[in-house]
Amino acid sequence: MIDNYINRLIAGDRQVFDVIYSTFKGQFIALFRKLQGLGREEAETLYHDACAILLNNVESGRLKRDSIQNSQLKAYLNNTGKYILFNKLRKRQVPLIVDTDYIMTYGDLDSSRKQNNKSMARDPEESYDMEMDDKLFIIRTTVRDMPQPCDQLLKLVIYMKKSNKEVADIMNYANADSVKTQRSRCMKKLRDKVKQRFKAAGYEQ
Amino acid sequence: MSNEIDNLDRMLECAIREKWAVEHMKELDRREKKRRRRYVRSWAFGMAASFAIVIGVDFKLGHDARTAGYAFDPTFGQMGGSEITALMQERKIDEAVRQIDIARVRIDNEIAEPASSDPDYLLQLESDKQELDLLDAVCLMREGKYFKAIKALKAIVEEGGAYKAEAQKLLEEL
Repeated sequence: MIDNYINRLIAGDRQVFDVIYSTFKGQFIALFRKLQGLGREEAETLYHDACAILLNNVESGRLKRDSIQNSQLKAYLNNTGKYILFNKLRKRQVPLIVDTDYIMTYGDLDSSRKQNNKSMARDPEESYDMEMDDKLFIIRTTVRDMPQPCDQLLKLVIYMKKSNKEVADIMNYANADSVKTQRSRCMKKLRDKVKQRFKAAGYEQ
Repeated sequence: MSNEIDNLDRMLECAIREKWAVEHMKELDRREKKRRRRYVRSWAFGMAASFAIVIGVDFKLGHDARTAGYAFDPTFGQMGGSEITALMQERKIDEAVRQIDIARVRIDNEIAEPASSDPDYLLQLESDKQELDLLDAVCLMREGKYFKAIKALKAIVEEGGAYKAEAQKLLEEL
């Protein structure tokens, strides 16, 4: 019996992410190249974004155990891709996490428009929030420009989910407590930078 | 206030996760492309090497067949001194093969409607036919047609008859 991929991801098995990535990549790329006329690189970038949302949904607790079966993952990723593409075409930021129910009922926006049946797919126009859009952009660029050693440390702790002890060994810190302290400092630096940029953009906290 | 910090921290963690997940996926793509390139290169190299080996082997076998073919004296038999063997001696193989075909048709017609019912005469016709087959096989060898020559010689050996021994000797040389 093949284990549920989402359950394994929730349990912390990161290798299953690579399995999901390679399993559904081919059909995703083919679908978006055919239906949306995207180039190969564009379709790959879209797939990366869709998989990143899947991962964030799992890690943030939005996806619960057994919420999505392996057979539904393909539809999940394809719908996420459509949602991302819709936002990109309107030059909007894609949320870092997306409601699963929304994604699974996202449907075929193109055909729903042709049939003039907007109830089939929820129109993202309804929920567009320009402030959130700007803030997401600021958050992403600040994270992208993060200097070392915070970049490396936060990668190990947050993305790779290494323990403080492991991070201390890798980055030559004195002990696990040093890592904990440094992590807090890095998050504070990051937070302060983001707030500074929010303020500069006219979004007072 | 702490709620806002929590929300912001969660978003920052998501953004960090997103950044490194995308980097990881790009690395997976790079490795896959490299693996595919290596596979195509090995396949192409394998095909080229196989092709070179086949060409080399074909060349060698053809050379061996030609050497053995020219070492064989076609005038040993009944047709020694005939136009066919003369053409073979002069290395006019195409013309010799043409004459062999003409002679074969003539002998086949004679076997079908023999001029005499004498058993020795009929045996002689069969012997002449087999000698033509042998000369034809030697022409194939002289043209470097290794596999066709082997096939022709084996047929003579299997049939038995007067020229079985010569055909067997030539097979051993090949």
